[in-house]
Amino acid sequence: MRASEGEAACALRRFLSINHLPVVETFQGAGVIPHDLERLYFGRVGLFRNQPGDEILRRSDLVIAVGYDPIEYEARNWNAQGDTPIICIDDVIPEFSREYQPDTVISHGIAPVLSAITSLCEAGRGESSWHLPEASRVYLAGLRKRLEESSVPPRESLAAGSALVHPLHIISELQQRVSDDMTVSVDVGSHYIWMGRNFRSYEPRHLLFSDGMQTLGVGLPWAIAAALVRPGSTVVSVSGDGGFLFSGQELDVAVREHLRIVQLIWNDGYYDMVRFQEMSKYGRDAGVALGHVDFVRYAESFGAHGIRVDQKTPLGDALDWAFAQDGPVIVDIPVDYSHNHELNESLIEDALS
Amino acid sequence: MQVSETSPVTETDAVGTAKIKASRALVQSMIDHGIRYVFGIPGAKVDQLFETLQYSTAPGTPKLIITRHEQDAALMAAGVGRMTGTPGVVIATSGPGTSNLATGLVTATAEGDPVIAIGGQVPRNDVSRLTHQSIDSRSMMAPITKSSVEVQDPNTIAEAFTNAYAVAVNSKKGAAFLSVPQDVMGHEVTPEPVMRIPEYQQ
Repeated sequence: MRASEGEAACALRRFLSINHLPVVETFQGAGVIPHDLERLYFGRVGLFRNQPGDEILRRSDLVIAVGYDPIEYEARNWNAQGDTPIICIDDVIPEFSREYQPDTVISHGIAPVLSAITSLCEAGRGESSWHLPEASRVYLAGLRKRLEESSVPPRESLAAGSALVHPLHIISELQQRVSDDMTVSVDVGSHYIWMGRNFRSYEPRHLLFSDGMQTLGVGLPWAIAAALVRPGSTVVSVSGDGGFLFSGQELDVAVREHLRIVQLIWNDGYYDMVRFQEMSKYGRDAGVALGHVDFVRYAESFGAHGIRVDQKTPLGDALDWAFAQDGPVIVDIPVDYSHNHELNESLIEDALS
Repeated sequence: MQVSETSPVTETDAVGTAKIKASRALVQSMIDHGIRYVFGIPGAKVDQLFETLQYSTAPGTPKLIITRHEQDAALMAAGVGRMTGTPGVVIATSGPGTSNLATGLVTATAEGDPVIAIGGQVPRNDVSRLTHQSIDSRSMMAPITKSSVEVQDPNTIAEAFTNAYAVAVNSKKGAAFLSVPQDVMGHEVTPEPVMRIPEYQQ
């Protein structure tokens, strides 16, 4: 989380431009990798141990943890054996655990430490330097291909006339309309897992997740803050129908302050992030069914705009209309969560061959 | 000595008096620390601070953003902190207003977002009594923030804000809570020279 802060992120980018090391982001580290270093990006980790990032962490000879806070993704998830060599570079001394005992801790501050190391690297150029082994290159190329493929929406989900929209389709359409200067705030729920794993961001702290506490209701308040401190570009807020109503009444603030916020609601009528985990634990859900809310009328009741995606209004058209509005607007998207059981399946073994 | 003029709306602010209300000293400290927005909801025990903010003509007075729930005000302040690296500020009234801040401050402290939260409080002589909107907010906030302080001497209000700022912005960043009893907020104080933490590198 601390690597995405201003000076730390700058220093890390300079370091990576010389040392082409593969990078795995935590959700709160999103946006550190710029476009021209995207080949170093191997996705994000933070929840279930089944991501390309988890594989790479397991396989690595050395993990350099930069501004990593255990609350983001405890080491018992990615270093259960406690046998991965770790160097910790941070602004603070880390919290230790059985699985997190870095071999070296440098807590003098990410920016000054990485800047100093980068200077040493630059000074030492021309002498024998470290190269990525060929076998590693091949492995990483394969992993990158799998990472790209995992974000492609399934073909059948793109069929015209389907009533529900697949999460990857929503993400793909949104990605095309979000420029680097825009801020995207994400609430908590199943949508947060899909967004964390598949939505790209190229500026630090422009894709915001509540990862440490996973607090529902953060989306709209953070979007309001973003519209105030980063005026001049549209802000996107992504919520589920459950989390949105934790703080939906702040639409009044957005209207009063005339803020350009596009609020997406992935609507399925459940607290789904709880639901799919209950299904895998107990084989049935409990206490997660919600009632139907007309979010278009909800928006209009505040003086905001609202639009619903349905057979007559495809997602792309609804988003184009929303981005063109001069003020806050809700986009109600009926989401297809039939694939959500995959989110916590296929966990990687602790020991990889 | 830096004292900014406000419009002479209240009798203590009449031109010529050397003393100002503690709420004005607090707002001046916010100005001195470059605070641009204050999020919150007023109530009887903290409305003096809102009155000062709303009508202050001092250059750099933060803009007041009134929300529909204090939890959301705390999250907005935390969002400002996350995106700017410097603390967002949230104000709530005593009792349920302050307790409504809890989840927002828990989130900010867990996730490294600098926030200064100011909770109104009953007058000092009422703090241990059963009376409207009275809770032991200093104790309540202690386990879930980086620091939790109740200002007892009105003359130290700017110092308290400065230290809250320093705690909030020092890594690992998080929330600093200030409880300000109503009679402290409205008490006359002598304006202080500017106090703020120096720019420092971590």
